[in-house]
Amino acid sequence: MTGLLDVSSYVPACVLALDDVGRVLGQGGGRGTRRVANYDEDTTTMGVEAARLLAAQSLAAARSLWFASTAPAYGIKTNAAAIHAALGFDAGVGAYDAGGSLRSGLGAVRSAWIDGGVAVLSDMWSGMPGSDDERNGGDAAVACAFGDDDSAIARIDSWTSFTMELQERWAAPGADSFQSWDDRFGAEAIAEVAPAVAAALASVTPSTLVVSSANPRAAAALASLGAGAYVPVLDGVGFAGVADVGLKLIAALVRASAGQRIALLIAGDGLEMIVLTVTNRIGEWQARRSANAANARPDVAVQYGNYLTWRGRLHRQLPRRPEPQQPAAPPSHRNVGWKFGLVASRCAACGTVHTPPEMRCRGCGSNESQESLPLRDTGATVVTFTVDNLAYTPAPPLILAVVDFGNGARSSFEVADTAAGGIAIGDEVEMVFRRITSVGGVHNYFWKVRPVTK
Amino acid sequence: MARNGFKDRVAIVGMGCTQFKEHWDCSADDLVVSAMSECLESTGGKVALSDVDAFWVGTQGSGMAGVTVSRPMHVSAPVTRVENYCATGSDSLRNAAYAVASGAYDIVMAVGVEKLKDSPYSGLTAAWPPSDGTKVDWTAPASFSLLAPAYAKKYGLTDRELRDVLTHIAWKNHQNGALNSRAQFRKAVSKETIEKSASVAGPLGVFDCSGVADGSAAAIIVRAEDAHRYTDNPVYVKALSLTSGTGGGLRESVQDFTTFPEVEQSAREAYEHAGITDPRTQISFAEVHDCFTPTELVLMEDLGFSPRGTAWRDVLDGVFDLSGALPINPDGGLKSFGHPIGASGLRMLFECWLQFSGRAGDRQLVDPKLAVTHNLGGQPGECVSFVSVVGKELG
Repeated sequence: MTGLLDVSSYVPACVLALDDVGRVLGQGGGRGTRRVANYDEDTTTMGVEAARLLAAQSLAAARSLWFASTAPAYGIKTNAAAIHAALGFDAGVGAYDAGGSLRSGLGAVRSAWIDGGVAVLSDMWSGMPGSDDERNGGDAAVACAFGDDDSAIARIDSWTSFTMELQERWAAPGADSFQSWDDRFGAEAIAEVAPAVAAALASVTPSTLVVSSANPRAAAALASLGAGAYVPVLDGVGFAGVADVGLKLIAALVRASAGQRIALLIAGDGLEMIVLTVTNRIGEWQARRSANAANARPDVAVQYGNYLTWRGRLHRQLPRRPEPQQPAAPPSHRNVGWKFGLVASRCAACGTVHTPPEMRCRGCGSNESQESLPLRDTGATVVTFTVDNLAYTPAPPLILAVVDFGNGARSSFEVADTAAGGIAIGDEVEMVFRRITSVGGVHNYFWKVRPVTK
Repeated sequence: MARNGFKDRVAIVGMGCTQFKEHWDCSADDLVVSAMSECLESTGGKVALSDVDAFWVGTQGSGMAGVTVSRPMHVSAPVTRVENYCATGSDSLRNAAYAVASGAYDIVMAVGVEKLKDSPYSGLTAAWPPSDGTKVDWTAPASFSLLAPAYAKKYGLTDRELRDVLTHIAWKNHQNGALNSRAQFRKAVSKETIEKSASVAGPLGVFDCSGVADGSAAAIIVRAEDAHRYTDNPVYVKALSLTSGTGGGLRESVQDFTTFPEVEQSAREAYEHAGITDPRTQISFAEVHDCFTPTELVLMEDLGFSPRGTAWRDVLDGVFDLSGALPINPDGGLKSFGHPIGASGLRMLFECWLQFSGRAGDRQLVDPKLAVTHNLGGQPGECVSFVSVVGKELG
């Protein structure tokens, strides 16, 4: 078996204040906040952003890519393949989606663990407007890489299943949200396995107990089995479906030390218990994690009315502009490197960089000399920008920027997660993978830029 | 390579131009018929439709193929449909003029038409080929808005100065348009209204943008030596120049958005062919592509009317006003006419036609002899530019 090499997370910048829910609906809502994916994000884009934060050597060694979500962007079509393309994986790395259930995340992780792959767990936990699930939910993604046991930051000691047929949360395929039974029932059902879990935990004596459940009652009951172990709680994110356990595992690892045990209890159609032992590599991971955290981006406050519109629950007057075109399949396939991986071309003869790749070199006119140059992790600088109040966008105004990559190449991109006034000429920007539009059931994935927080 | 000019080889001997407005009651066919009929009538019956050997019709999206003209006019003749972004109308004239100059035809017509208001959209739109969806979908005001802050930064204008310059351009063109019965907007607009108009993109407000209108315009072109057989007031073509750019401004770290290199190149070539060495003093007036106010500002420098970095002072000093040293857009420009894409380039020439023959009414300039029309398509960084020099007299 492999070990856990790395785990990373992506939490969207957008924050929904729950009292706004109550204000808009006249009922429900609550206090505090939850995270929501921006209008141009989905479980695939968030998955890409989480996976991009994995250490390069973990990505390079991956044998397979496993994607799980209860809210996949596509059915039939493999969402993991888009993530695979955005990460620039070789064709020889398998890419697979795992079901659409809450438990599918565990299936993805178990597969990646067995195979030495990367699991991407990404979710948007919406619930119906005004529901408890909406209030308690969150949108986020995590990625975990498995591989060479000697390089692991933690090893999986045991994986125990308590599978149970249970009608607790469910949805018809294609439904825009899910239904649930009374949470008291779900908590009672989980209680059936509590003695066995408690006995197992007693023999492990974990320092940290990670509990993940969509059912707050069940979560509280499971947390009480920890006998004093630290139980991580996420502040202001919400229960992010399949990603929730990963976010809490990261919270546990951030304060773990070598030799400690972490037990994970993940509810949903029964219970899974995973026990890990932290290795002496954890310090390196913690250092890298805190370096990444130093680049935290500013929050973007989202009004509930806009959130409902983005999720298709509120139909509003559209701008008097043509609806964006669907991306066409053949050019999207021809240009998959640029579109999904932001791979430019560079002339081997004269060094001129082309964004997007061109057949004929702008520098020397050669038709034969282009080689690949990924730019997704290259910084860029804003040459100029504008705030467009006329453009068709679900979140006006649209901000557009012309950026230089510092290698002679220039390109234009939409600006993500930024309000008018939040960008200036000369700003450094980083590339982020987003869903530009979604028209007629076809998602247009491409890259945007976001100002780098200084 | 030799880009030889063809100064004084061809002349315009008839023109027509519809009013530019929201023609809710007219189709593109109706507009074509109106403009072409007026154009033929302007020769006093000396040119009949059946005398015309061939036609060029410019339209960006209001028709396909030559039938855009041949069907509504009920002619069976060579008709070429031309599309070249917002320079479409000018390029139909250019190709028609070359056909006469080549000797292939004696009498040809260039027509431009656009019927925009059958769509419900704000601003201009285009039907693009299927794509991979990775190109930024710039609206026209967004892409042209890049010029204003870049210009201000490069030449040290304060926000206040920049605003005053842009406002003056809009104010001046509306002043001129108020004197033109064919314009879409025929009211002078106060500087305060211009300054306080709703934001569209970047620093551009509604009054920094040209409108959206329907319209059509047409011209009859013959060999220069034949011109006086058809009219006492021919417009002689001194130069026609077109530059389609590399798109490098959006792909290479070179351009700073304070100039259109394509315009500079096309102007240089047109002036060379026309024998113009000092456009600011030799040109009587110019019709330029004022799609947005900062476009007109930058064009004053690219067309050689003001040295680099000084056009803004010339604008504020009234150099380009109707009463100024070099009137720009005496007919009111795109600002007052709106921009029926295929028709705009020919509409610019229509003003030259009127001005040279003393028929420009309240806008009439004193004895204009040489004029420039400039038509621009695309966006800063990736565009096509057309420049013509036309004159009242041979030589």
